[in-house]
Amino acid sequence: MISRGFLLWLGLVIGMILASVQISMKVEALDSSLNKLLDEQEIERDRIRVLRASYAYLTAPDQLRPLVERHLDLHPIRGDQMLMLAGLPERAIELDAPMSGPGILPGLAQPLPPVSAVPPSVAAPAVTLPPAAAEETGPTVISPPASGPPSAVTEQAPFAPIPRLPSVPPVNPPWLEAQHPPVLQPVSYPKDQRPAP
Amino acid sequence: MSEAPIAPPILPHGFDSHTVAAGGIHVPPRRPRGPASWRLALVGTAFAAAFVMVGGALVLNAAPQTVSPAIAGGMTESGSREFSPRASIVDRNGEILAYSLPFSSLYANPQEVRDPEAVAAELVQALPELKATEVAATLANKGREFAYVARHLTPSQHSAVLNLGIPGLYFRKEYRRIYPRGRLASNTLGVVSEDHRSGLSGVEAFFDSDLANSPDLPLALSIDVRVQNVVREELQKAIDRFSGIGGIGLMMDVRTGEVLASVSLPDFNPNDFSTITSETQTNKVVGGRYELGSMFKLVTAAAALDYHVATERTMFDATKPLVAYGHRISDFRGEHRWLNMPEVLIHSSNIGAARMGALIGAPRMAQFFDRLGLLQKASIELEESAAPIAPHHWQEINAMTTAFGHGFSVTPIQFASAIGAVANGGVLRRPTLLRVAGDADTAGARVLSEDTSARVRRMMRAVVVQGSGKAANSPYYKVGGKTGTALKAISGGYSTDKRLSSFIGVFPIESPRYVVLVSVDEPKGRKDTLGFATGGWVSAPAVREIVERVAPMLGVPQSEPEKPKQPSLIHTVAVRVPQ
Repeated sequence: MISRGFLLWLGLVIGMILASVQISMKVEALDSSLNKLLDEQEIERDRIRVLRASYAYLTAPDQLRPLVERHLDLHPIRGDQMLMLAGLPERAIELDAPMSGPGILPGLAQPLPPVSAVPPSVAAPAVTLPPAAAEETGPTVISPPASGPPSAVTEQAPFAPIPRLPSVPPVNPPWLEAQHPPVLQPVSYPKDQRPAP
Repeated sequence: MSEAPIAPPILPHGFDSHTVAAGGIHVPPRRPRGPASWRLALVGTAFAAAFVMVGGALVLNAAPQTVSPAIAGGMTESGSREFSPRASIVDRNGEILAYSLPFSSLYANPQEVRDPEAVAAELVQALPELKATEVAATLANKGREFAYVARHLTPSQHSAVLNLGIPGLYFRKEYRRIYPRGRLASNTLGVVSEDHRSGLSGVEAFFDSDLANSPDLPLALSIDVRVQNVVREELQKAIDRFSGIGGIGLMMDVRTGEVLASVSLPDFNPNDFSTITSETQTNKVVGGRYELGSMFKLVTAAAALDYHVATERTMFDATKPLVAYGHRISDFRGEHRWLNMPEVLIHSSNIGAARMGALIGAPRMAQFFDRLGLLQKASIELEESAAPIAPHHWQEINAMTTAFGHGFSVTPIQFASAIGAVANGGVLRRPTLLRVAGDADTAGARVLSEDTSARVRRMMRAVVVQGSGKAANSPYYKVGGKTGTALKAISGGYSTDKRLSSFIGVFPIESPRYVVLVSVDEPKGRKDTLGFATGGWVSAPAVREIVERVAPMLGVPQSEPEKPKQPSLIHTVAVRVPQ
C-alpha cells in the first residue's frame, strides 16, 4: 500500500524535475541571448577600433595637407598674428552720466574719467640678463664673416607664403576597405569624383 | 524546606498521558523502530542527495559562462580570444600613434583538405598575392593539423575566401599593430612582432608588459604630433636641399625634460616591415653617438664661467693655429686676432675654445661633463639609449679637443638635455618620453648657477644676432643658439668632406622654454650657399622655420623687439682688442 508520505515525496520530486527543466530552459535561452549580446558587443568594439584608427589616419598631417591645398587657402600662423590676452587694449568705458540710486556708493556718484586705450603689448616673462658685459660700449662694429649665412630677419618678407612640400595623393590603409557590414560611409567626394545620384 | 512530591494527574476514562501530550487528540504510543523505518530514512536521504545534486546543477547552469564571440562573417570561430589587443599609444594631446586592430587570419587543417592543388588554385584567385605552389605544399603536409595560409586579411579578402566555401579552411581573429601616422614617429614608437605578442623596439619594447597587460589604459607620450610633423618636414627639407644622407631633429621642453619631437631620418614605415633596414631602424636621437663639433663650445663657456676660471672679458689668443701634443688646432675661418669669450662663440673659434679648455683643465672639464650627464647614457625610456664615447683618461689634450666638440661622442638627446640645463637656469632634468601632468616645472638637479646660465644665454643670443647662427634669427621670437660643423671621424682620423652640420637653438631666449636641435648628415654645398654646407647654412634656417611654425601652436607669445640702442657684446669687447 502506498503511503501518503511516499506520494508526497513523489510529488515533490516530479515538481522539482519539472521546475529544474523549466529553469534549465530559461538559462539556456538567457545564455543564448548573452552570447548574442557578447558577440554584438565584440563586433561593435571592433568597429569602433576601426573607426578610431581610420579617424587618426585620415586626420594625419600628411593626409590633410593635400586636401587643404586643394580646397582651402590657408597658411600657417605667423608670430605677429598672435597676441596674448593681456596685451589686448582695454575698452574705454563711457561713464559720463552720473550714477544714482540706492545701491550706488557715495564715492561713485560722480562720473569717472574714461579709461584710455592701452597700446597693445605682449606680456613677456621677465628674465634679467646680467648687464655686466653690456656696461661698456664702443663704436666699433665687427662685420660678420663674408661666408656666413644671410641674416634671416633682413630677408624675411612680411606674410611671404611658406613653401610647401609637394603633395602626395592619400592612399587609404587596408582597414579602410569595404567592411562587412560597412562601417565607413563616405562623407563627401571631390567634385570630379562625385558619383552620379 | 523540601518541596512536596507532585501527584500524577487524574485522567478521565479513555485518556492516557500520550493523549494529553497531543492536545487532546488521541495519538497511539510510539512503537519501537523496525527495519521499515530505516529503509524509509534511507530512501529519504537518497532523495535529499538527489535534490542537492539537481540544485547544484541548476546553480552551475545558471552561472555566467565564458562565451567565445563569433568572428563576424567567419567560417568557423576558433581561438578568437587567444590574442588580446595591446594598449594604444597616444601623443600628449590624445592623438593616436599606435593601435591594435582585429584582423582575420586564414589557416588550414591539411588533414581535412582533400585536393590541395585544387584548393590552392581557388585560393590564389581570391588572394592573388599568394603563390599556388607554396599554398599547395602547405596544404599537402598531412602531418600537421594547423598551418597558416594567409594572415591579417582585409575584410574584402576575408569575404572572398569565405565565399569559396572550402572545407578544411578556418579563420581566426588576430590583432595587428597599426600606426595611423605612418613614418611620423616610427623610430620612437618602434615595432611589435608580427604575431602581436611582444614589442621589438622603441616605446613598444620598453613598455611591453604595461601595454600588453593593461589594454584599456592608453600610454600617453610627451610627443606632440603637430610639432613632430613640423620638425620632420623641416629636417627633410634641409636634407633634400643639401643632399644629405640623413638627419636628426629634436625638440625638448627645458622645464620638464619632455621630448616633444624626436626625428631620425631616414626612417621606416612601421606598417610595412619591408621598409625596415639597419639604417632606417636606428634611432639616431638616442642611439647615435656623434662628435657634435662647435656646439660644445657652449658647454665649455659654461664650465669656464661656473668654475670662475674666465669671464666674458678674458682674452684668448687666436692669432695663429694652436699646436699641442702633436695636434694642430685651427679655425674654419679665423679672425687671426685675440678674442674674448663671446667672440670665441660668435666666430666659433676652435683655437679660442681649446685655450679655454686648457684653462679649465682636464679634471674640471670631465667633472663638468659628468654633472651635465654627458658621461652616462641618457636615462630615457628607450632601450636603444647608447652610452657616450669619452676619453678613458682625461688629459690636457682631451680638455682642449672636447672644448670644441671633438674627441668625445655623445647622443643628441644627451646634448640637448645638457644645453637645456645650461639655458634653463642651471637645472638638469631627465629627458622623458612620458607626458608630464600639469604645467609646473619638474624636479631636477642643479648643475650650474643661475648667473652662469644667464650669461651663457646672453652669448647664445649674440651668436644668433651677430655670429654664425644669423639664419636662425626670427623676427617674431628671440632665438639663442650655436652652430656646429663637425668633420666625421673615419678610421685613422677625420674625413675632409664628410661632416655633420648642426644647430642647437633655445627659444624664447629671454625665458627659455624649448630647445631645438637639428643636424644634417653629410650635406653638400650649393651654388647659392657659395659651396658652404656648415651648420649656419644648413641647420640654422631649419631651426628658424621650426620655431616660427611651432611657437604659435604652443602658445609662445611673440618676443618684445630688442631695444635698438642696447649695447651689444661685440661693442663691449671690441674696445679691448689689441690691434
